[in-house]
Amino acid sequence: MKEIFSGIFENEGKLFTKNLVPGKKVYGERLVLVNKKEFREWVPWRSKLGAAIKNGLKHVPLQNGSKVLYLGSSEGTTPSHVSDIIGKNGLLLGVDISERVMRKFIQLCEQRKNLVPILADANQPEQYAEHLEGQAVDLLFQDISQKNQAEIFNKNAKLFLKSGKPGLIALKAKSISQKESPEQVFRKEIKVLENEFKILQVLSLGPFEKDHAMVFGEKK
Amino acid sequence: MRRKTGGKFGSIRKSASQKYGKGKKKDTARGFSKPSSGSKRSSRSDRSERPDRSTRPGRSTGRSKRPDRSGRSKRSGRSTKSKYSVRPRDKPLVVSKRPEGHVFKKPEMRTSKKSEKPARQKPESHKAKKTESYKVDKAESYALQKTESYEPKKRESYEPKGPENRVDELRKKLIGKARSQVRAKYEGREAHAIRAAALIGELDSCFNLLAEHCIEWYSMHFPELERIARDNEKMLKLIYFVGNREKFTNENVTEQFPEKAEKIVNAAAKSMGSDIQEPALKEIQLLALNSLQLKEERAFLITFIESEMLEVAKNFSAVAGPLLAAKLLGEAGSMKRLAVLPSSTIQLFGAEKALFRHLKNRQVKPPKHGFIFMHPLVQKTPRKNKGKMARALAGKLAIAAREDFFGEKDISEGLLKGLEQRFEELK
Ligand SMILES: C[S@@+](CC[C@H](N)C(=O)[O-])C[C@H]1O[C@@H](n2cnc3c(N)ncnc32)[C@H](O)[C@@H]1O
Repeated sequence: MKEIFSGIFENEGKLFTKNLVPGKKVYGERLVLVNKKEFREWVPWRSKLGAAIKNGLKHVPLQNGSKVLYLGSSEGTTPSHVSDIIGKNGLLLGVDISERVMRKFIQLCEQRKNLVPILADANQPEQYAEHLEGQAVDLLFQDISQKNQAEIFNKNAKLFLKSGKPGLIALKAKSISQKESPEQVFRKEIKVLENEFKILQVLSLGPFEKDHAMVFGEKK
Repeated sequence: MRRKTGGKFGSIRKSASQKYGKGKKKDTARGFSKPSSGSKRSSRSDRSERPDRSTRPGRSTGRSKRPDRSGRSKRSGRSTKSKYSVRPRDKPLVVSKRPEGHVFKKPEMRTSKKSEKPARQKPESHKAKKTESYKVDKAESYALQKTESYEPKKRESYEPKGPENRVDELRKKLIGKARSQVRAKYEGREAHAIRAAALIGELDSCFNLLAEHCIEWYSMHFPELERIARDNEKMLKLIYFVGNREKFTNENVTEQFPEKAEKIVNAAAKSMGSDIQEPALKEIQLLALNSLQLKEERAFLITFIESEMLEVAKNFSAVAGPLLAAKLLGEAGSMKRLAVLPSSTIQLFGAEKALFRHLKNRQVKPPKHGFIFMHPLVQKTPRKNKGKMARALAGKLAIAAREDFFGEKDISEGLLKGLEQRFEELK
């Protein structure tokens, strides 16, 4: 078990995080025991951040105690691994618009003390800004399939990211335009992101996700 | 019970949509004929043969011709693979109450969950290949020199100021808020399932009423059929798809009612019923189709109830079965009320009459079960223990309803296991 990033481990080509709640699986992933410590396999086919790391994300801006705003937390597959990484002192605010997935996520939040659910539209960050009590975050992460993904990301960055802080966004070409090729779409979206971000890395998520890209940037 | 009804009606729904030409676009275009079998018939003649109800006054010309003859002659040699490929006419007999081109689909609620999730893990071999599908991949074009030297800035003091439990407090507050938001979203939604469940019973009696009329009328022509068939739905299908007694050939009947085909064919050959004129037969067939469509409607409603109940009360619905669950829920009025009811009340829902009889006159024994009597586990329990089983079931149902309303967990498996155990003890 080799620690490749803070809190992220690799063993025989597979990614793992140390299970914050030993004995509990979140989405049917494998649990393994190494030196009496329990690890959860991080399945890149199920998690875009996992896929990005597999595909060579150069830096994972997460560490013990990080505070993360996660847009599109869904049922909490990826958030659960982030939760493992940031540990007890960290905090992940998971925003999602769908009650259906929120029901599951709330359950996860009860189990993991560093997760917080927010049922809201990421397109209207003012709505949940007050809950954050004006605090900035260490990482803005976004994975939502909306036409104006980049715009939403910028909006949230303006409100919650201080200059120099990192942002990670998973772009889904198909939800932006069906006609244009993924490359074209990504180029355009990255242009938009450049309004707020200095882009540091762009990588495709294939073969784990079709026509998806992960963009890593730093708030200007 | 859930599985059973689901399976039964699921299959009806499928076949029904094929039958009535609503299932696929192809079917609708050509009326009733199946793509494979009906292709030879010209659609024009089909149309003239089967006027809409609205055009009835002018129908006589079209009707005087037997609509199905052309199809009939081609029947021989056709495989009997599809039960419904033979039809007396090509256009629906009834003005469809659904808009043209309407396709019944199972509500999509359940699927969305899947679509949100990325694909299942695939064999490793996939991995290497497609990674470089487009150029943007390469960090070079965008990554500045900075990439290598990216140093996370030292964490500033973004941590909540003040005592440790500030975050904890915020967290509790937000969990509570999200939870009540989710609940508010679902509040009142159960009303639809309740309505639908109430409708099921009405549909059943409507169907029976129409079916009886239809069968009675048809019996003038073929009186022996009813005694042999003993199944309203199958009988209506025979009336609609085969029609005239003369056409009760082995093949035709087998398609609709394989179990008793032989008997029916024999009876048809020596029936003492009177001959029937085409116009009268058509009216009877029309009635049959209308009744069959009620059955179809019922199947759709059941699917609807299933998916709704899964949304608003998945534990309760899993333990009771969706239809019974919706009925009990209707009796309680709302999820909120159901969740605070004692199990004894749930046990006696639907047995109010008997309960009041008992309260008035103590010599009358109190009822042991109401609606929940129809639960398969109660049904299977021997008579003397039915009350005990009903009580156990009601208890689990109360727990399930509470979890559905106040919690989020899926506890149905444990509850069902407990019930099975109790059943083993009582049977
Ligand atoms: C692909 S899923 C995210 C999966 C998650 N990142 C993971 O790997 O576990 C996208 C989610 O974004 C949510 N979403 C879509 N539009 C949204 C919006 N405007 N605001 C907030 N969430 C949104 C959807 O409800 C969905 O759950």
